Amino acid sequence: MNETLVELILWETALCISAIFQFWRKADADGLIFLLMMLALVLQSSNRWTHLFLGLKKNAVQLKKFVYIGICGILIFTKPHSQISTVMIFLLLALLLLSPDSSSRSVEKNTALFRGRWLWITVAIATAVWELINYFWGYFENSENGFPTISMLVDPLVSSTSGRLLFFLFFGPIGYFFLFWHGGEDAHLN
Amino acid sequence: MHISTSWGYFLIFVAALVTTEYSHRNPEKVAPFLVVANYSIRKRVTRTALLLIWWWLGWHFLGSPYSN
Repeated sequence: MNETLVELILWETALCISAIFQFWRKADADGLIFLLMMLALVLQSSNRWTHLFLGLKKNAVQLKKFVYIGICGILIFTKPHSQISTVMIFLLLALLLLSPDSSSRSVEKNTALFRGRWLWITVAIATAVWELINYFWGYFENSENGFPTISMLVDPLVSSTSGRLLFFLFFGPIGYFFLFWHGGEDAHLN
Repeated sequence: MHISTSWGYFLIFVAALVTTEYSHRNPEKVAPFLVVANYSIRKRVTRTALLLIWWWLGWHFLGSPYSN
């Protein structure tokens, strides 16, 4: 089985589990979003859709960067879960879908990369497992505050302007990296 | 109990910082985070999935009508 197909199956499985979990906790909108993510991944893996999804290449990239920074700026000064913040988040999604596909990123495979991958996989799995343990512990003990998930810890932070500024020091650069960073000249790598 | 389970996240955060610092100082032994990230997103399917999950984080913390 080719490597891309394996990655697609693994991502579809992870997103499916997330969707089921969201529906189980009665967050139907989030569950639907994860189902749409599954569909989006299948569509983008088909060459027929490549130029539609993430396909408007390098046009007005500078303008999009300003729009991105503008959206992030507005979100910093907007109350979370308000109508304005919801509209801004969906504008961010539109920007994401209209962004150029990132270029190829070739990295030499060696022992250091192998060690680095496994260390970060361990950190990621530890975070996910700890979050899940806290969620179910809080659920069965009927004490969500006693066993906070990451959301519960971050929510008070994003309720203030300075906290949101701090949040965007994490969220902003990651989005910028994904949307606008180009590692080489090749437009496609599949 | 709130404090003790929160310590778990803190320990993971410290482990991530230590990993970042160690790999930055010893790139020949452990590849730095950006190199690992570059390798991880070399395929469009993973790039797209991470991009969508990154957007969902913004939705979850700032846009969603329910947050927890």
